[in-house]
Amino acid sequence: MKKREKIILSLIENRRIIKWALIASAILMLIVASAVIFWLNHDNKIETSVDERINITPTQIRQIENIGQWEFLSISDEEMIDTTRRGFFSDAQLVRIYYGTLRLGIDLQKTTPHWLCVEADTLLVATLPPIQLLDYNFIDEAQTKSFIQSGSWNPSDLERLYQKAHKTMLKRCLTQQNIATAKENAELQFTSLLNSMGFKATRIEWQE
Amino acid sequence: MNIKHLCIALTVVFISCSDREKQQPPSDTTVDTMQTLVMNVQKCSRLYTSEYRIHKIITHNDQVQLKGTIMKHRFDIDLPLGERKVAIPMDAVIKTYVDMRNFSEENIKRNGRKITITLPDPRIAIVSTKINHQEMKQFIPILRRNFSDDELSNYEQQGRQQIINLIPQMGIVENARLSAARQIIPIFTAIGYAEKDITIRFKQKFSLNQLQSLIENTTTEEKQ
Repeated sequence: MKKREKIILSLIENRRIIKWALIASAILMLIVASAVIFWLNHDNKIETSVDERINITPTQIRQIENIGQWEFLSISDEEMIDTTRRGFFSDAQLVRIYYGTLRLGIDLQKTTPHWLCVEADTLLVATLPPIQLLDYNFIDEAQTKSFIQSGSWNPSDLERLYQKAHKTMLKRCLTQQNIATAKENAELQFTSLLNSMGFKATRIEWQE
Repeated sequence: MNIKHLCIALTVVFISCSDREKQQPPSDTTVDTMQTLVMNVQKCSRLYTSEYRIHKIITHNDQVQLKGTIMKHRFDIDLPLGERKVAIPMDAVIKTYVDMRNFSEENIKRNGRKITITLPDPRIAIVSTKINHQEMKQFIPILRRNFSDDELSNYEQQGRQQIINLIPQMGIVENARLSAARQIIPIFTAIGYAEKDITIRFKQKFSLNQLQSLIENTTTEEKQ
């Protein structure tokens, strides 16, 4: 009778061990499964995106021209131009930053036939055409930065802003002072060039 | 007692007022630097010898995509919202020039009646770009928003960069050398040299990589 009781007791004891072993293994499996799921999903991401690159298209040379322009003063300018359109509910605003370089110098194609002549065998006289703006289109519009935009704007508005930037840059940069500086530098550079050509006595004159 | 309180209050007010005066910055320290920020004037001596008028149509089309990674698997799905398209016509003016600032006697060699002039290497500059806004075409599906000014500016900048990247293949430098010679020779014939006695030389021949370094790329980043 006692032996039978012992067997029953040992069975009960083993069942308890088995039960704890099962619980432990279940917890372990849960931890492993969680780790695997975490590893598989820790870098999950979903986003909407749009390709910002432009397509590769041909570039066409429309005109090649030989020119002879001598630049003596370069003025780089940037202008912030804005416009506002009044609306019933809200105003629309557009602010753009334009970049441009105004080049002041002379156009050698405007020189007279004997613009460079030797007087009294030793004196070299150069008669230069007046200082002018070498390029009327001087804005690098493709570099323009859009700063603020609210509301929609049509092509005419953008063209109007471009013209406004052009006018502002002209007013700011094409001053009498800058023209005088360009003229002064032209005289300096041309004297240096003529000296290097072997003439120590030189004179720079300007066309009327 | 009341007079005492009044005196204390007046003293406190006086001290606080005098402190505030000390804290205020003097008005003459405020300097408007806008003018110096926006303008950069530079004396130079550049002989521009040839001008190229370039035309390009910048195109861009974009499809909204759902991209991501789920359980280490990448996916990339086009969303059925429609494809936006834009075509931007752009004109650019490119000029070649020789920098005469450092031209000196060392660049000229005489041998009797013959003269050899060594000119600096020609360089290339984008003088202007112009967007033809009136001719710009856009297609916007109903479910998509319009192109913003910022997006269009970005495409225009990329188009400008494409032009710069193509310059070495346009054969501009060789033509620039010929044009420079055409401009310099009359100066020397005017002072008595015969055209056959004048030789114009340039420093070196360029590889494609070296050609890229001759392009004056004034980006907005450089300006900042």
